[in-house]
Amino acid sequence: MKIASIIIFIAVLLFIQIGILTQIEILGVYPNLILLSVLSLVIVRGWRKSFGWIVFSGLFLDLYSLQNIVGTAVLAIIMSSALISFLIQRFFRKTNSISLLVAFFFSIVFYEILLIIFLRIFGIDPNFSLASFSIKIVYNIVFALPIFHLIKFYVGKFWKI
Amino acid sequence: MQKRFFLIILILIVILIIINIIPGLSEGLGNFVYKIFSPFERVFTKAGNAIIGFFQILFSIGDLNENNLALIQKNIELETENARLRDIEQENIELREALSVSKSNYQIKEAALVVGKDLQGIRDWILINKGSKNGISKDMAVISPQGALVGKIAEISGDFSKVMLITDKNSIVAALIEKNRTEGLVKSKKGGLFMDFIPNTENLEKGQKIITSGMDNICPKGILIGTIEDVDESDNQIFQKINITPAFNFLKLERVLIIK
Repeated sequence: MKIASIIIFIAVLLFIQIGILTQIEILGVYPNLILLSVLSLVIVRGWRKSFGWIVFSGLFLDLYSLQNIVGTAVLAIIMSSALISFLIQRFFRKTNSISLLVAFFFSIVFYEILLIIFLRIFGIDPNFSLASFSIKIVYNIVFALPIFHLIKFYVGKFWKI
Repeated sequence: MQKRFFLIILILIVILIIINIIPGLSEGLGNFVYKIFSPFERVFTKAGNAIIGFFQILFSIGDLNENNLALIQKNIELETENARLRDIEQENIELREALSVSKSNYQIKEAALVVGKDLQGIRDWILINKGSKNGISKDMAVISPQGALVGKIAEISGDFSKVMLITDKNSIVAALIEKNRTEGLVKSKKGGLFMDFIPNTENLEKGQKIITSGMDNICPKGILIGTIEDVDESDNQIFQKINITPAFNFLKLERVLIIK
C-alpha cells in the first residue's frame, strides 16, 4: 500500500513535470519539480536517508536532458542537496516559510550554476541568458513551498522517517 | 560511517566516469531508459495537452465572436486564392509531367512520434521514437506533418533520435524570403527566430513567408520555416533584420516526418 502510494505520487509528479509544466514555459523556462522534490525530501528526511532518491532523480534528469553525458545533473543535485541539508542544520534549525525559501533559493541557484559549469566542461553549450536564468529561479521558488508541504505530508503519511 | 558514505560517493563518481568513457554506454543506457519511459511520457504529454487545451478554450471564449468574424473574412480571401492556386497547380502538374520532375523536393523517410523533451531546458531538443534501426542518420531534416521545418537529427541511438529544433541557439538554417527571393540565415533567439543582414533596399512586409533555400545541404529547398512577424530597421542604415513567427507551435508537436 505504501509502495503503491509512493509510485502514484512519483507518477503524478512526472505527469505535472512532463505533461503540464513543459507546456507553460516562459522564455523557454519551466520549473524543475524533480529538483524541488529532492530538495524537499532532503529537508524532511535528511541527506543520507534520501541519497538513493537523489542519485535516481539526478540520473533521470540527466537522461531526460537529452544529453549523451550522464552525471552532470547527478553531481549537481548531490551537491545542492548537501548544501540545503547544511543550511537547514546550521542556520535554520527552526524552519519557517522564510527560512525554507532562503534555503531553496541558494540551493536552486547553486544547482543551476553547477549544471552550467559541468555542461561547459563537457563541451555542451546550454541555452543561457540572465533573463531566463532569473525567471527559472523565480519560477522554481514559486513552486518550492507547495512541493515541500506536499512532500512533507506524503513522507509523514507513507514513508517512515 | 562518514568514511563509508564518502566511499559510496567515490564509487558513484567512478561509475559515472566509466559510463561516459566507454563508447556507446551512455547512449545504450539512454536507449534503455527511453524505451521504458517513452510510453508513459507520451500518455502524460497527451493528457497535459488536453488539460492545457481545455483551459485555453475557457480563457478565449470572450474573443470567439471577434475571431469568428476575422476567420470568415480570411476564409473568403483564402477561397479566392485557392481557386487561383488550383489553376496554377494544374498548370504545374502538366509542366512537371512534361519535364519529368518529381512532385516535391524531398522524400519522406520515416514518420515518428515525439516521445520526450528536454526536462531541464538546457537545449531545445526533442526525442523521437525512430533511430538508426529505422535508417535514420545524422543531419536529416525533420518537418511537421503540415510540412513546416522542425529541425534536424542531432544524435541517434538504436531506437530513438534526438532532434535539434530550429529554435535551439545552435541552429542555423539557410533560408530565403519566398516573395522577393532574398537569401539569408535563420537563427534562433530566445522565444523566436530571426534573419538578419537583409539589404535595406528589400521591400519586406509582415506575413511574407520564409522558406528553406537548400543551400546548407541539410534541408531541401522550399520547406516553410515561418512568416515575417516584424521588420527591425533600427539604427542600421545598410541592413535590416526580421523577426519570424515559426510555422507551428513547438509545444504542441506530437508527430514529425523525417525527410531526405
